[in-house]
Amino acid sequence: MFNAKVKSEVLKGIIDVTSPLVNEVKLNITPKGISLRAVDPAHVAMVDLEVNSKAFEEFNATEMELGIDMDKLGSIMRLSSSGDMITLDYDEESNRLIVKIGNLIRKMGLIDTAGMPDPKMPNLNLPGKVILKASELNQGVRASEAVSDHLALTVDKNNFELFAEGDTDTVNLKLPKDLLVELNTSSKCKSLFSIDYFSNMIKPVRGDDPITIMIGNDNPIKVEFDIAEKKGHVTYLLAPRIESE
Amino acid sequence: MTYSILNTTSSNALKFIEKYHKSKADKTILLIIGDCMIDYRGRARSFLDWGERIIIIKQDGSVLVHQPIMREPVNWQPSGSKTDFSVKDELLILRSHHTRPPEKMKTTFRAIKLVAASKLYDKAKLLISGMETDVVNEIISNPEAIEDGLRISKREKHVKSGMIDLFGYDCNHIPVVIEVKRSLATISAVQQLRMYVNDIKKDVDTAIVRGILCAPRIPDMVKKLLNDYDLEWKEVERQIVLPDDYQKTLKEFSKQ
Repeated sequence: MFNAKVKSEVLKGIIDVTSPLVNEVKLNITPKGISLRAVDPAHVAMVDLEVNSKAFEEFNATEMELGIDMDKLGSIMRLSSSGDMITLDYDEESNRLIVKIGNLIRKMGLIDTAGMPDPKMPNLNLPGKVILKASELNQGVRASEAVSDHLALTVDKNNFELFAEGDTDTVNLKLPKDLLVELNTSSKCKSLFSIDYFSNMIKPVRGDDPITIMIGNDNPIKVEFDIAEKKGHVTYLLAPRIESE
Repeated sequence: MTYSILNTTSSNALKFIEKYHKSKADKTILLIIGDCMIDYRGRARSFLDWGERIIIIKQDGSVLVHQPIMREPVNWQPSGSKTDFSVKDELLILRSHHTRPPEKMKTTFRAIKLVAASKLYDKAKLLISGMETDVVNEIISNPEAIEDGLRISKREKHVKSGMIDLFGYDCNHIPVVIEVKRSLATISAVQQLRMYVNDIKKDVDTAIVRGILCAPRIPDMVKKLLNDYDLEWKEVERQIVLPDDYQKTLKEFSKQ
């Protein structure tokens, strides 16, 4: 059993974090809320999402799984405007999710979850930790997009640094400790990442909201932030690019 | 997931396509091998009689028809085309259409050897080295390779008759126009360079502007013509360097 009432923005937020990486997800539902973990088809990035039932206006559920086509749900949600209240209702008989937006009823066929994997979060040694404002990071990433398809992130005792190099142009964003919310590292860490993936991971965070980054040496990066008015949490993992010289 | 059937009837092929491809045509690639006939109407009109061929419908809607030999497809439809499938008189019919420009391609199968559907992921971009921009970049990062004291001040400088690849000044502050070719320098490259140099001179004959043609190989005939026009040349090495960094996957870290 699953039925819930939720603000349009909250549901759109969940779609925004998931759909750039995966089209089809297995949504785990418990009486306490919803969660999902999925890896993109190329196995380069992972999204782990938890949303507490308190993020919903109403939430009634028993333990179950829903196989959702995120593109489809995304296009349904584009029919709603912000502030709209969305009603979700699982119809067991037809295996559909009934989405109500005002007077509009949209029944969405669900996907069989049988073959969907349960990816495990790898254990990683990520000694560098930085918390910073999304807007600062976004500016650096936007600038990098214009010159290259990958960027280097570096954390040392005093600074967080972003660097991108193209054929002729470069981008450098250096943020000293006092401009960051938090900076903590036991050693200097540097890893290289695809801008395409990385920008999708930080795009959902607006304005001055904090983003937590955990980084190692030629290791995946962990990007974490809250969604759904802090009643939900997102963890992304992104595999590095390796420079072999 | 990849699905396939071998040596099947038209109606079974249609069922297969409806199950594994049609519901998510934008996410699955479809491959059909069989005996078919192709009728195309669009910018031209073509007809291809019965023959055994490979048809590929890609995830962006592009359709390619390959005969057993030759590199190029014999018929095709561009990206964004839509293909409908039907069976008539036990023949499998594919109707692919594209709106701008309006093009229609009808493929009729009378025998089907293979139908396969698969969801393919590929985010990699092709990196090519050895293009004109690579030679240009090489010169920008190392102008000494052309001449000691040369300073490049502008890349892609617009002038009346076109765009100068590289513009700069030599050690005596004389303007230098550089035209870059990625492989063999031709007569037309000389004319191009001559026009650019004249553009910079603003038709003042006494003005001193140098023009240098840079290419990995410059034939004697071209060198002679350059001499006649008081232009110079420089044979530059073309370095083929492909970036060798690569994307790791999360799987490689799961074992740690």
